[in-house]
Amino acid sequence: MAMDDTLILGGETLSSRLILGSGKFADTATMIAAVKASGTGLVTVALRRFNPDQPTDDLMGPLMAIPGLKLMPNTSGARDAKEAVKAAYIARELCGSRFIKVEIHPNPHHLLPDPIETYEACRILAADDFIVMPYMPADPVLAKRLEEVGVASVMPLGAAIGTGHGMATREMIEIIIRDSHVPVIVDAGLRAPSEAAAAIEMGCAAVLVNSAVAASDHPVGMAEAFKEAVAAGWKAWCSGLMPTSETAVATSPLTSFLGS
Amino acid sequence: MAVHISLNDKNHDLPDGATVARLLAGFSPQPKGIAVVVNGGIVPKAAYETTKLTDGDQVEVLTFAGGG
Repeated sequence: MAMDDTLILGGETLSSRLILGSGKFADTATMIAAVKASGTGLVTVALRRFNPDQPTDDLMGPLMAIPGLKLMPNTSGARDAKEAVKAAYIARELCGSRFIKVEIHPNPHHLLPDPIETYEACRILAADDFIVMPYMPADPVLAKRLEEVGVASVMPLGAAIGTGHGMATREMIEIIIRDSHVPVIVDAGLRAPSEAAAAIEMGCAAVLVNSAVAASDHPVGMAEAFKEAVAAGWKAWCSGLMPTSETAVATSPLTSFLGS
Repeated sequence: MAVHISLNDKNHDLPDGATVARLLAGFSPQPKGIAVVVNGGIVPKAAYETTKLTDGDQVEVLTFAGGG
C-alpha cells in the first residue's frame, strides 16, 4: 500500500494533491498566506495587461518567494484556440513554467469550456513541450481524445466555476477516472473540504480549488482544511474503501451470548 | 523627435531610438514578472536591449494577476 503523497505531472513532482487558484482573494497578503497554509506546490495565475500606474499588482514576486512553489498560468480570457496558444507562449516567456492550464470559455454567463477549441489548443501545446492541463467539460470521450494528443492531465469540472455546487458531474467523472491513463483532477465547483476528500477517495489524483478558499470567511483556515481533507482522501484511497452491501452485515456476533 | 507607440491600447511617447528596455525602465517600481509583445510577436527578454520601437508600434506589456 503506497501512501506516497507525491503527484507527478509531465515529469514535475508535486508534494501536494491540492492545486490552488490565486483569484478572488481580498488582497495579495491573504492569498500568499492561504497558499502557504494549503501546502500546495502548484498555483494558478492569470495573464493581465500590466498597469504602470499600479505596479504593485504584480503577483509573481511574492509567489516566487515561496520555496518550491510552481506556477501554472491559465489562458483565461482566450475565446478560441489561437488566443489560448498565444497566451500560453506569453506565459511561458513570463515565468518559464511549462505548466499551462488551458481554459477557453467564450460565454461569460456559464463559463463552460469550449470542447473543440480546448482540444485544438491542447493538441498544439502538447506538441511543444508544455505540461498541458485542460479545464474541460466532464465528458469521457473528450477526456480520451485529449489524452491521445498528450495532455499531462484532464481537469473535468465538478460544477460551473464559482458556483460551489460540488461534484454535480460525479457519474461522468467516475467514467473518466476508470478510462484514463493520465491523472484526473477535478477543477471548479467544489465548495467544501469534504467534497475534495470525496473526489480523491473516488480516484481523482488531485483537486483544484479557488473560490472555495478565497470566498470563504477565513481563507487561511479554509486552505488548511482543504489540505487536511485532500490528505485524508488520499489515505482513504490508498487504504481501499470497504465493499458495499445491499443487506446489513453484522459487526458484532449475534449468537452465543445468552446461552440460547 | 519622439516615437509614438501604443502601450496597452494607450498612446505613449518615447525618445527617438528607444528600445523595449528603455520603455520598461520607465516603470517604477520595476515589476518582477512581465512579458512584452510588439505587433503581435513576443519579444524574448534577451532581446529587450536590441529591440527598437518605432512609430505606430502596438506594444502589450503583460503580467500575472490572480486567477483560478
